[in-house]
Amino acid sequence: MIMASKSESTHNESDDEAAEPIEPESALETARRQLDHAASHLDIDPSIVERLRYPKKVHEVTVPIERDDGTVDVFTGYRAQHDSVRGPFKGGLRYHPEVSRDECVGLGMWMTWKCAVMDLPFGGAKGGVAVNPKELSSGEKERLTRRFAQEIRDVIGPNRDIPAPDMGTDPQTMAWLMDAYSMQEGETIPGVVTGKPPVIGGSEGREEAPGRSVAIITKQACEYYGSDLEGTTVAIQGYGSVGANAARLLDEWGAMVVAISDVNGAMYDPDGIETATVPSHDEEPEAVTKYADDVISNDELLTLDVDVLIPAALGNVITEANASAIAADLVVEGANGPTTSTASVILAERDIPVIPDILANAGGVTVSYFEWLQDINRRSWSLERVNDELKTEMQAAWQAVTDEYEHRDVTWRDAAYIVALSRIAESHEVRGLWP
Amino acid sequence: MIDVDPESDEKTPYECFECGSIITAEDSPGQCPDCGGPMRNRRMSLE
Repeated sequence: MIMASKSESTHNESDDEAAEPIEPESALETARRQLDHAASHLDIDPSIVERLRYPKKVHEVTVPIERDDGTVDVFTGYRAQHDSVRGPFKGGLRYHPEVSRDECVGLGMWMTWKCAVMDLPFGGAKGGVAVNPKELSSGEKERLTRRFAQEIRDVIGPNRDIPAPDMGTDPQTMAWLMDAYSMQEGETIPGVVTGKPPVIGGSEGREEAPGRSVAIITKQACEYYGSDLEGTTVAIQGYGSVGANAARLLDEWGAMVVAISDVNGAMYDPDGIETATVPSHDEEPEAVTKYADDVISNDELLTLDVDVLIPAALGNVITEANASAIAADLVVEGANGPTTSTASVILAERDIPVIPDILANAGGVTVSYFEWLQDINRRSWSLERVNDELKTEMQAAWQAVTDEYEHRDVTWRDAAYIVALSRIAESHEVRGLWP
Repeated sequence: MIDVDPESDEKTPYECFECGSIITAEDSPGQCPDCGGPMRNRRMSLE
C-alpha cells in the first residue's frame, strides 16, 4: 500500500546544482526532477521510483525510403515506451529533424503521469522520426510512415502501444499507419492508433475535447469555491480551439464571458460577450478584435478584475512581472503551462488558486481513450455520448485531485502530480517485480 | 506533463507547430518569428 505522508521534504538534488546551468537540462532530466518532486510528497518504495526513472524499452529503427527522384534516403525512427503497469503505452508520434532518443523518453514519462491523473488504463510512450516533414512530398511522407509502421510493428498494437498525432503528423498520417499495420496483420485494426479521421474509426468530439474539459473543470472549481457559474465573470486569453470552445460552453452554462482575445488584442464587454457570434481562430483567423467595440490589450485582459481567468493561448503568460497584478479569484490553465514557476509561487502566496493544465485540458487524451474503446468494441459513439462520458471522467478526476488537495495541504498542481504518481506506484506495488 | 517546469525558470526549447522552428528561451517567445504560428514548449506531452 502507498502510505500517506505529510513529509515536508522537498529536497531536490538538482536544486543544489542548477543555480547557473550552462546547458538547459534535457527533457529527460526535467521529467526525472518532476518525478522526484512528486515522490517527495509520498511514502513510496524507493525502488519503484527508481524503476520509473527509466523507460521500459526504447526502440531505434532505420527507415529507408525512396524519394520521388528515385534516390534513397535513410532516416532514424524511435519509439520510447516508459511504463505500462496500468495498460498499453500511449503517446504521440512526431516528425521533426530534432527528434532524439532522450526527448522521446522524457516526453513518454510525462504521458505516463498524464494518463494516470485521468485514471485512463494506459501507460506512457513517445516516438518519432528525425526528418523534416516540410521537405517530404505527400507520397514520400506516406512511404516513410508505412515503412516506419513496419519497423515498429512488433512493438505497437491496440493492446501494446497506441500512437497518436503530434508535431509534423496528422490524422492522415495515422490513417496510413493504421492501414500499413492492418495490411501486415491481415485484418483491419483501427485501435492501433488514435486521432484518425472519423470515417475509419476516429471519434466525434475529439477537436473540441480540450476546450470542453476546461469548461467542465472551471464549473467544478467555481462550485468548489462556493460560487454558482450563473453570473460568474470570466476572461479568456486565446480564442483558438481550446479558448473558443471553453468560452462558448461557459457562456451556454450561464457564466458571463467579459473578455476574449487573440494575437491582435482582446474584446472586452463588462455586460458579457455573445461568444457564439464571434468566430474562433479556426473559423476565421484573428477575427476577435474585428468584432469588438471595445478593444483592450492582452496584458490588460490578464489583470482584469474577474472571477475566473483562463489563459488558453500560450505558455508563460503569467510571469513574475504580472503575477502581483492578477486580480482574478481563480486561474484555470487552458493552455499548456501558462504560469511560470515564480508566478505560481506569487499566486500561491496571494491565495489565488491555479487549477493546472494537466487536469483542465486533459479532454484530448481522454477522448483518445474513447476512440480506442470505440475501435476495439467496433461500435462508434454519438457526439452526445462522447460529451457525457467526458463529463463523467473529468468530474472523477476533479474529485480525486480535490481529495489530495484537501488531505495534503498542497497546491492544486502538486495534488494532480500526487494523484498520478500514487496510482502508478500502487499498481507497481500490487503487481510486484517479475520474476 | 506541463508546458513549463513548475520548479524552475530555466531556458527550455519552444517549437512552432506550423513551421517547426525551435527557439530556446526562458519565457515563451509568443508567436513564431518565422511564420507567426503559436510556439509551444517542447517539454510538454501532447494529446
